[in-house]
Amino acid sequence: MAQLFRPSADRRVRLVLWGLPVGLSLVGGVGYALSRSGWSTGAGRAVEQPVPFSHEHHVGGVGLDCRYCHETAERAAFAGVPATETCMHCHAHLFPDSDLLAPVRDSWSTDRPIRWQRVHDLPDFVFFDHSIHIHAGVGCETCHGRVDRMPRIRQFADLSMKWCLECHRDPTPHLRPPDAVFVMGWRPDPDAAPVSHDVDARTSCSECHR
Amino acid sequence: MSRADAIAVLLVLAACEQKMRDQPRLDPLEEAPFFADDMEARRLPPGVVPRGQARLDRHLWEGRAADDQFVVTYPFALDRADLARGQQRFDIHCTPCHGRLGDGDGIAVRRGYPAPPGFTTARLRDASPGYLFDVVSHGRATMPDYDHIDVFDRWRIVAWVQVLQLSQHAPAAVLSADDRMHLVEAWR
Repeated sequence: MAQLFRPSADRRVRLVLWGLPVGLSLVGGVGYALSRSGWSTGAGRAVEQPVPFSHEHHVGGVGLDCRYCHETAERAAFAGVPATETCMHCHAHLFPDSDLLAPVRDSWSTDRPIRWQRVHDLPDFVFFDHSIHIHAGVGCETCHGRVDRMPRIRQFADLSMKWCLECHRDPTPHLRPPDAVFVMGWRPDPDAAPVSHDVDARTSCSECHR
Repeated sequence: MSRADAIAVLLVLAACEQKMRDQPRLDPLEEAPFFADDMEARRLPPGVVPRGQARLDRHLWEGRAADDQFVVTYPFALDRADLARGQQRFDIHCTPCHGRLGDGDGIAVRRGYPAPPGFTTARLRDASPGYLFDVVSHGRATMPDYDHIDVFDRWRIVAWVQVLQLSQHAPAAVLSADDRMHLVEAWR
């Protein structure tokens, strides 16, 4: 009677025995890396907008304060997206014929809002509030990055729960004095006395998930 | 595979979608096809006054007295914190055109926006707080209206405008002896 298994069968069994754990951990590792990457979290992603608005020009170049446009950031959960009227404050007179601004003028004349697309979009089960973070001394830059260097606005952080908790567990290194909250590129003065922040950053589930 | 099986498979797959991430509710300023204008943020129907928000205080809301004249007083007492707040709000909303000193050479003007008058011109030095409040709220000439700014903050901005006027056009007689000395030293 012929042998059931040829000698090469040994090799195949070894290959499967070694290959299975190696392959599985490879798939797991790549999967984990992908789930943490910007491809999945959106960190670094720019979203197509109806108007090619440049924060680099308006913040870095012109020097507008964040609150000129995002005017409810200090007193509401939602920082606010400017009304078309806010664009027209200047652009009724500056570059009034620019093609780039055609959607703004259309919005103005038809009384229909510009469909700005959200860039930092938290899941609906997270209840984030801008005002409390600003009053605690979290800078805009801390979560939104160097907006003054973004010709197209991009998502800065990965917005994962891990990222939120890193700060909530030890907020002090991320906090600024009140007059530095809206400043881009602020660095703590190494010679200045450390600012004490009376901040109660909580980590219980119901703080953010209601 | 029967049709029932196919539906079962679809239902299982559908469960994979993270429905909690996008819940059936509207976020601020989200597109809302439910309404004819697609806007989540609803505007008040014409003529509606929110309960408790009737703007009956003409001094506060319009800067005018009962006889329609602009008021020469503020509708509430101002302290140093109000002036600091006024400066901050002025720097946010007004400096792009008026400049930090109110002389009318803000960056928008340097880029071609029609220049506003400086705050120390004779006409504006004589302007009443009520008039300044009216201009902040409703605009004037090429200036747009800024009535989206909180009404108390608008009065604080007016106060800061008057601070800028006084600081750049004060008779030496109103200065303290120390400040006069500083002035003399700086002039030398």
